[in-house]
Amino acid sequence: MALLEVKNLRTYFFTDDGVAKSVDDVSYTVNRKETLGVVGESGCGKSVTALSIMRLIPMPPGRIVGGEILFDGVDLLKLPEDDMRAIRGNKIGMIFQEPMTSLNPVFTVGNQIEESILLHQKVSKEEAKNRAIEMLRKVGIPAPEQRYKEYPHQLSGGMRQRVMIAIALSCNPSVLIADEPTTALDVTVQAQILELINELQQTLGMGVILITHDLGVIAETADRVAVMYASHIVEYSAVNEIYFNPLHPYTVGLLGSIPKLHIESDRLMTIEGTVPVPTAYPVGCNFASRCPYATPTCLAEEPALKEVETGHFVACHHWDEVKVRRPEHLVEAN
Amino acid sequence: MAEVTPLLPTTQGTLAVTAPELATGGESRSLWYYSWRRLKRNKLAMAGLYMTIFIVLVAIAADFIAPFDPNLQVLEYSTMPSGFEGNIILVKNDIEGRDPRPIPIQSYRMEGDQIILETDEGNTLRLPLTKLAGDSEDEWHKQPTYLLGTDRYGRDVLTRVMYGARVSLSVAFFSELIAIFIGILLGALAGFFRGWVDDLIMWFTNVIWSIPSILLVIAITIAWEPGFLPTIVAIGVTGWVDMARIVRGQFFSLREMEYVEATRALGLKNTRTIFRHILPNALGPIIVIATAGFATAIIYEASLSFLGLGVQPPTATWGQMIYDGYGFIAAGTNWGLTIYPAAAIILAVFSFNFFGDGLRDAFDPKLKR
Amino acid sequence: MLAFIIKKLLYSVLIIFGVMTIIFFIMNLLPDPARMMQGQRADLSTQAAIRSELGLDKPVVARYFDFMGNAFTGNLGRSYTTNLPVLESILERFKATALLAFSAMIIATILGIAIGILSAVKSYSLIDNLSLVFAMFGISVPSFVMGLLFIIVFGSWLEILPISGYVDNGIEYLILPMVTLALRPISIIARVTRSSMLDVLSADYVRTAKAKGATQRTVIFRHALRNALNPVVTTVSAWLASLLAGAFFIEYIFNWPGMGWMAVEAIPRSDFPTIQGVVIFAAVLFVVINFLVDIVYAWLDPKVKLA
Repeated sequence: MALLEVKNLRTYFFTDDGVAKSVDDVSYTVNRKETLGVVGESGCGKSVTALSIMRLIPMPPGRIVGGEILFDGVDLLKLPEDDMRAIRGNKIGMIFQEPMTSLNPVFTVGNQIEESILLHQKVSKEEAKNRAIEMLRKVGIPAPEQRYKEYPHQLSGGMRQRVMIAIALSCNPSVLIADEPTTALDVTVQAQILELINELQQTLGMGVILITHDLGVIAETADRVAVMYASHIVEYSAVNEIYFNPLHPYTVGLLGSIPKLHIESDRLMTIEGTVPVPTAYPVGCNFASRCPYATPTCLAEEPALKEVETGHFVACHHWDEVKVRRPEHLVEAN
Repeated sequence: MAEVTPLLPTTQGTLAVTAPELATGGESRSLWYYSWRRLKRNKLAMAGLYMTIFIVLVAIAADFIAPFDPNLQVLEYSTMPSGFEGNIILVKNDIEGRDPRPIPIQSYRMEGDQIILETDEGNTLRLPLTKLAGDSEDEWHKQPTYLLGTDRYGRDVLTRVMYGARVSLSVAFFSELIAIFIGILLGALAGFFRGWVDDLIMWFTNVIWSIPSILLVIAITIAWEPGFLPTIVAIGVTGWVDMARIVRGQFFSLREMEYVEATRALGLKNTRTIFRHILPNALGPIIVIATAGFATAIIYEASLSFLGLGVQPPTATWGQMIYDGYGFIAAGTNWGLTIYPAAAIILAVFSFNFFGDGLRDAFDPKLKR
Repeated sequence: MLAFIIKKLLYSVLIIFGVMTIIFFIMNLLPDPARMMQGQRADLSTQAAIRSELGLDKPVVARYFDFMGNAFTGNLGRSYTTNLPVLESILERFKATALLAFSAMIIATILGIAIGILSAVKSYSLIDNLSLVFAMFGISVPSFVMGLLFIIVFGSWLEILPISGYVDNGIEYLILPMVTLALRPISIIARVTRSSMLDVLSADYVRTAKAKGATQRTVIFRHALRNALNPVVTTVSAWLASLLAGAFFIEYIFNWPGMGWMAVEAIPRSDFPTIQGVVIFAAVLFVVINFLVDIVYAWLDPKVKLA
C-alpha cells in the first residue's frame, strides 16, 4: 500500500470573479523512501494540492470539493480537525518557499522547534530542548547550542531553511512535503539544502513530495515526476521517462526552455501564449490554445490521464504524435 | 503580500511562461475601473454612497422641499410634539417688506370684508381681509403638519434639520478643500525635496498634530469670531495633518519608482514631475483620507455649533439644535429636539464613513482576499 | 540608547516650542482682553492699568518672549474669572480627567482587542460585519451626541444610571461618561487589531505554526497576536494621550469636573488664560506621552532602528 495517495482531488476557490478550480482531479502517490517531484509553473495548483493534503487551504474562499487523500489507508479529508492536527507536523511535515518569513520573528529558533516536539510528544521541556538542539545538529547548523537561543533575524536564509527542516522533521514524520524549498535561496545553498533533504530521507525513510518549478531540481532528486499544468496533472512517470521520453507537448516545451551549455542555440524555446485563468478554463484541453499539436478534438474534449506506456501516464489526445514529432535533439541532449 | 510575478525566468532553468494572473485576455483596464468594480460589490459602501447623495440633495434642495421657512417662528406652537398639526392665518407684516406674520387660530369665519379669528388663547380677533397675506384662502390659511414637532420658538424641526445639512455639508466641503490643499502642498514638498524641507515640514506637522485639534479649532474660532468663515478656516487649517503625511509617504515610495526616475532622466521640471506623474498615482490614498477628513469636519462643525462657536443663530445648524434640545433633557421632555438633529449627524457621518471605508478597500484590495 | 533618548527629548522640546508659538499667535488675534474683562463701561485708565498688568502695552516681540519665558517656567497666567493661577487649577482638575481617561482606555483596550481578534478570525462572517457596523457607529457618532443619547436612554428613560456628577457621589457616576468616552477608542482599536491580525494571520510563519499542528488557539494567541500588537499599542497610546488631553464634551455633558469641563466652562466667560493654559497643557502632555512611548518601544524592540 502506498504511504500517501491523493485520489481525484478537487480544490476550488470561490472568489468574487467566479469559481477558481485550482486543483481539478489530481491523483498521485508517494511511497516510503521515495521522492515524488511535482513540477509546474506558479499558479498551476501544485502548492494548493500540497496544502490540501495538510488541510491548510484557507477556508473561505477555498474548499476541497472532492476526492480522497489516503494516508496509511486513512482518508485525511474525513478526519475530525483534532485528529488532523495530530498528524500535521507529526506524521506529515511541511517546509515552505520563503525561509525568510516562515519563522516567527518573536520567538527563538529553539523555541520554535521545541513547540513542535511538545505538541506531539509527551516529553519534558528539558528533553524537548535536548531534542531541538539535536535536530539543529542534524540539519547541519554549526554551534547548535548557540543557535538555539537566537532569533530568526540573526540567521541567513539558508540557515533558516535548515531550521524549517528541523521543525518539519522534529517528530520523525513519514511524509515530508517540501514546497519550493530552494527557490528563494542562492544556488550554492540550494544544492546543500537538497542534499540535506536527500540525506535525511535516506536515514529517516520518509516519503518526500518535492514541489518545484525547476526541472533541474527534479532531475537531481526525484524518483518519479508529476507535471502539472492549469490544475491538472498532464504527465506522470518515472523521472528518466520525463527527461528522455516526454509525451506531453507541455513537458516538451518545459524541457526546451531550459538553457543548455553544450547546445548552441540563438534563443531558448518558449511556449507561446498564456495560461488560461482558473476561473475560466476552456471546455477541451487546457493546453490546446498554446499547443502546436492541437486539433479540433483538443478544443472539444478534455483528455484524460491514461497509462500509455508502462508506468507512464499522459493526458494528451496526440501523445503518439508528440513522440514522433518532438524535437529529438532536445530530448537526447538531456 | 502582493508580489510582481516575474515574466522572465527567476532562476536557472525555470519556465519562460507568463503567469496566469496576467493573462486576462490582454485587455488592460485602469485602476479606476477595478476600484469602481470592487466598490460596487461592497453593499455597505454603496448604501453609504446613496445615503450621502441623498443628504447632499436635501441640502441643495432645502429651499424647495422643506415644508417651512426655517426661521418662521410661531411662538404659540413652542415645543410641540411630532406630528402636530397647526392652524394658521398669515397676515401682512406691519413692517413693509417683511415676511407675513402667522396667527395660530382655533377657527375663523368671514363677515363681509372682515375675518374673525378665534385665536389659541381664546381671544377673538377681527381683521380686514386686506390685511391677509395673499388673495386666495390657500395662500393665507395654512394647516401645516409639523412632522418632527417644533422647537422652543415654534420653528419646524424637520425644516431646520434639512437646512442644518446645508451648513454641515458646506462647512465640511470648504474646510476639507483647505485641508486637502495644505496637506497635499506640504506633503508633496516634504516628499519631493526631502532633506531640511522635509524636516521643517514634518516638525510643523508634528506641532499641529500635538495640539488636540478640537481645542485648536475652538481657540481659532474664539480668537477670530464665531461664524461661517471662521468655522471653515479653523477646521481646514487644523485638518491637513493626515493628508500631508500620506502624501509625503506616497511621494517617498513613488519617487523611487522607475517611471519617475525616467522623467528625471528626461530632464522634466520638478513641478511637472509632481503634477503629471506623481500626484495622479497618489490619488487613491488622497481620496480615502479626504473622505475621512470630510466626516471628521462634519463632527467638528457640529461640536463647534454645540458650543455656540459655529455658524450663529438664527441659521439652523445641527449642533445648535442639539444644544437647544440639551436644555430639555434634564426636564425629561421633548427628547426629539435632541434626537432628530443627532440622528441627522449620525446618519451623515455614518454614511460618509461607510463610503470612505469602501473606497479604501476598493483602492487597496490587499485585505480583501 | 542614551543618544536616542536625548535626540527624542530635544525633538520633543522643539515640538513644544512650536506648539507655544502657534498658541501665542492665535491668542494674539484676540480682541483686547482688557475691554472684554471690564465690559464696555470700563474707564480708560482702568483699561490701561489692566493692559500694563498683563503686559499688553509692550510690543509683540517682547510679549512673545515674556510668554515663552513664563510658559517654560510653568507660569500660564491667571484665570480672568477666578484669578487663580491657571496651571494650579489645571493640575487640581487633572485628577478627574485622568481617572476618566484611564478607566475608559482600560475598557477600550480590552474590548477593542477582543472584538478585533474575533472579527479577524471570523473575517467576512456575520460577526465581522456586525463589529464593522458597531465600529463605524462608534467612529461616526460625535462624543457629545453619544453622551446625550446615553443620558436620554439610561438617565431619562430607564432611570438606572446617574447622568451628572463626579465619583465623590459614588462609583456609578463613572459609568456613563466612561462608556461614552471608551466607545470611539474601542471602535478604532477593534479596526486596527482586525486589520493587523488579518495581515499577520496570512503571514508565512502562521502557516508554519498551523503546519506544525498547533491548535487554533495557539496559532491566534501565541503566534499571531504577539506579532499583530505593534500598531495596536501605537493606537492605544495615542488614544490615551488624547483622552488625557481632556474629554471636553463628555466632561461638560456629564458635569465631570475635569480639565475639559474647565475649558468648556471658560468659553462663554471669555476666560482666555484658562483656555490657552488647557491647550498648552494638553499639547505638552501629548508630546510627553509620545516621547515615553517611543522610548518604551525602542527599549522593548531591539530591532527598531535607533535613528
